[in-house]
Amino acid sequence: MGKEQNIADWFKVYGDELYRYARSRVNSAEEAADLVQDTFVSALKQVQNKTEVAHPKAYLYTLLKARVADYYRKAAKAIKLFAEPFESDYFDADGYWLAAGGAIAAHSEALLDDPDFILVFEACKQKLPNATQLILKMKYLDQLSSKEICQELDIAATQYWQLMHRAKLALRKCLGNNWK
Amino acid sequence: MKSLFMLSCSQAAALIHQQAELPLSSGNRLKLAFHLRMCAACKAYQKDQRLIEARLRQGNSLSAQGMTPEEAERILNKIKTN
Repeated sequence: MGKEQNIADWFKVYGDELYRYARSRVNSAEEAADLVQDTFVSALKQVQNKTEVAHPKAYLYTLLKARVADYYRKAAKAIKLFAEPFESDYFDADGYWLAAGGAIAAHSEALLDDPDFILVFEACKQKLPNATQLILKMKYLDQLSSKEICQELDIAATQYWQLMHRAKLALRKCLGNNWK
Repeated sequence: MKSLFMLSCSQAAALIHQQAELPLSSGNRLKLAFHLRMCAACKAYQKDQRLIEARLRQGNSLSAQGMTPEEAERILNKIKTN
């Protein structure tokens, strides 16, 4: 059996799972498919120069995760420290909330699994800048610490906190405006 | 009114965000607790942030669908011709 056949079999078994992993971490289906394709093409090249791979699934995940990390680093280059004022979108000159409304949690924990709420939530998330979405994924899906994220993306702690601060204010505002 | 021990809502929001990740200094913890006791808007904000964080942790379960058959076919061909 040729190596190509081997890798093609791996793809049939693990391809979809790897794709889902990639899809949850990048911003589009196309980018996820590209990362998965790149993973298998690179596995094919590597395996030709190597002996047996004992744990194909773990091996493929290692390759894919390296590509996701690469994707993160590229996206991080787009991160800029926001210079323009933004607090005025949410707070008055004395630092009090502009609009008291927008509370959503009163609707309770049941919202977490409500498909309509998830739709609104994802739409709000999509509106955030790519770099901000990325940091949210690293924090909440990959469960990295703020320190690890700063290292991985080579950004300062102040940048991290500012991005997080903005992201959370923006998400809450968007949800308050779009979820009744 | 802002003073040494009174937070504005914008400062309270920043501390709420930090507290979700790191323990606050005892001074900040006290200031935040004091502010939250008096400020219903920030209390509601904190509650909403807990929900938002829980939702972020779950990821997007709606877009968890796998590859389309066309996409899978395309990648498979790429593997075979490489």
